[in-house]
Amino acid sequence: MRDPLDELKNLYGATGEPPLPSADVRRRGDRMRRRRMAFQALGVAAAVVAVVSGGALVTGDLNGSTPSPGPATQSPSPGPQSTAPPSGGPAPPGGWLTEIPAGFALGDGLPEPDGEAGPVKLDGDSRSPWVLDPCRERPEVELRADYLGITQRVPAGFHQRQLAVYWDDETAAEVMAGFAEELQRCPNQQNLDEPGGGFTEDVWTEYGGDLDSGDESFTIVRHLEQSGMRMTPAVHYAAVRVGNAVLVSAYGAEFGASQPEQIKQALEGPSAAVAAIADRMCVFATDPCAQPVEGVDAPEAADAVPGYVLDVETLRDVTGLERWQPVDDSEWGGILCAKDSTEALAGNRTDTSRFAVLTRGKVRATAIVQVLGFTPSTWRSAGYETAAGWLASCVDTVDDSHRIVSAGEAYGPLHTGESAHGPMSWRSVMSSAPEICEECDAAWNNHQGVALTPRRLVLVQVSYAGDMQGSVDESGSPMPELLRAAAKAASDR
Amino acid sequence: MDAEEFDDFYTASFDRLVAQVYAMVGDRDEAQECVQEAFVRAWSHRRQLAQARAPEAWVRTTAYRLAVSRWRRTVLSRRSPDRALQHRSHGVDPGPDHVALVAALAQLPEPQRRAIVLHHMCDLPVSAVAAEMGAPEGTIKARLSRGRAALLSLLDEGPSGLTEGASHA
Repeated sequence: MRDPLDELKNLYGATGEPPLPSADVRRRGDRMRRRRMAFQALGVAAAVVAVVSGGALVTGDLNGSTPSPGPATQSPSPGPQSTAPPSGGPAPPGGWLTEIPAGFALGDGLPEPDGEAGPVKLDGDSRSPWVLDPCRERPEVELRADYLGITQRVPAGFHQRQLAVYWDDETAAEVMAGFAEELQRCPNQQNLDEPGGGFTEDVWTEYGGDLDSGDESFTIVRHLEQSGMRMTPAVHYAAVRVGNAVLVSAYGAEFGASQPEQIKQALEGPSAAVAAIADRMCVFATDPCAQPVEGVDAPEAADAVPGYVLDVETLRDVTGLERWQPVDDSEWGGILCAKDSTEALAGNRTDTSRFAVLTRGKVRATAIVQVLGFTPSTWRSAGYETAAGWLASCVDTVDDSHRIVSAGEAYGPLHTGESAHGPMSWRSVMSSAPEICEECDAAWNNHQGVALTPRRLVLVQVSYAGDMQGSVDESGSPMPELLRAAAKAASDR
Repeated sequence: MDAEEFDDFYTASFDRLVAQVYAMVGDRDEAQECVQEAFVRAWSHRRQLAQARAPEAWVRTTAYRLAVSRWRRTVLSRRSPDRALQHRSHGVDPGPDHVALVAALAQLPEPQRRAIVLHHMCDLPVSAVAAEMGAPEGTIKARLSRGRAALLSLLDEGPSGLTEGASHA
């Protein structure tokens, strides 16, 4: 063979199947762009959308005829009605439940992550805005006592669900009324302000009835029209209140159908899933159901994840370092190569234990061990594959303070293996070590891995102080012994 | 970028980009599908593309990320992770040197492989490779040096050692 680097250029010679005609590529690109813009216009993404003209909400009825575009003076009816807040009726015995029970199955009915559907991402930020937010001004996020959100990408669309708990039912009812008021008030014409020139589209909101569930509920479909033609991307929203809790679900998709009856049929599945979750929200009702109910694990459920699946003795035995000690520093994250927080793995029960070796007050080694439990349990294997994918594609910039860097080779190869309980993957990378010194050649040799067990997922990272002038040192890697030990403990307990 | 400019760009660069992504991921069909999809996205984001200093690099990076993402989804759906080395192209049958080279590339750690393709196949200077990969120039030089040595060593071993242990991104 000639010089292989010259040979590289010969790869240009072999051609595969001819590409699509460029007109088809542009057509597909236009379709993708329309879908993106439609979801933005329907209030799903943080889009730059400016309201340019006032107008009443134009409503239709999925059970009836398609509404026709009308002037701004068209009567807004029927639709989700503004509900007067309750008079602050009696609170349940023992007071309102103001925490979402651990393991609440908010993701029930979502497709399992696979080749088409993406992973389910959790959002625990209590200030996250409502997805049903046509005017983009929902101040009551400040009043939430607890919150849980999930999102999932599916082909040409998404699922998003949000559950917020308030201090009483009156506040929750005001939130529901606020949705109705906002839908009535927000104009139905929006300008999609794009660089190079925006355009105006009509936003249609069609009332789809209620869910026959909870204290109050409604469903709507929002879609766009351009030049009088209904666009196929649409978002189905459902909102339901049970006691002091409010659930909002959004399902965006290319429905492909323009007739109300066809859309209604396509939405039966999502509506049923939301109604099932609403049934489980009975724990928040004035007359609450007992916990646990189906799909809700009480916090003390036996499947709570175990803590400290690795202990100081195991770390000493495997690493040879004597001075391991448990530490409590919640600033430490998870594995360094994680593209996202471990919440993206959709585990809904997590335990994290942290250890360090300190010499004269300086950190010389660290260990982080995370155990994740899953509801539904079928997401566990998807979580493993996602975490293993993080390791496989670990990139240069990990976070603001730790860059993967080395004068030599910063990456070790990705290893895979098996414990007695399931598959494992691990990899070593070298990163900067600002904890040791800011302007020196100190670096971390990070040995990180993930192990799947029949009930749980375990992530382990052990980092030793090293020298940035060298290459990542795998000779001292405690993997896979630590992964096997952690997997065993996570399976036994 | 208007339609005519896009069509010219697409026609002129498609085959070149497929070959480059092929060298990075080791599967020509996968590379072609990802480049195709990257062009769809490029047109969908055409204003952003028009503002990019190097549209071809934008498409290449998008296609490469799609390939990595597709590989992850492949793993998720539990198809064979060694698809990267399975030949199912409908195009011209490559010669043995070609197969050995792609197989050797696939054995390199992903950062080395990508750096070698960008520098030696795309003819990008080290500074441009560093910019495209988001890494310091010194790191790129180290990757190039180690990657070249590893590639030569793998090819010296002959094809027998090149069918297992492929790493794909």
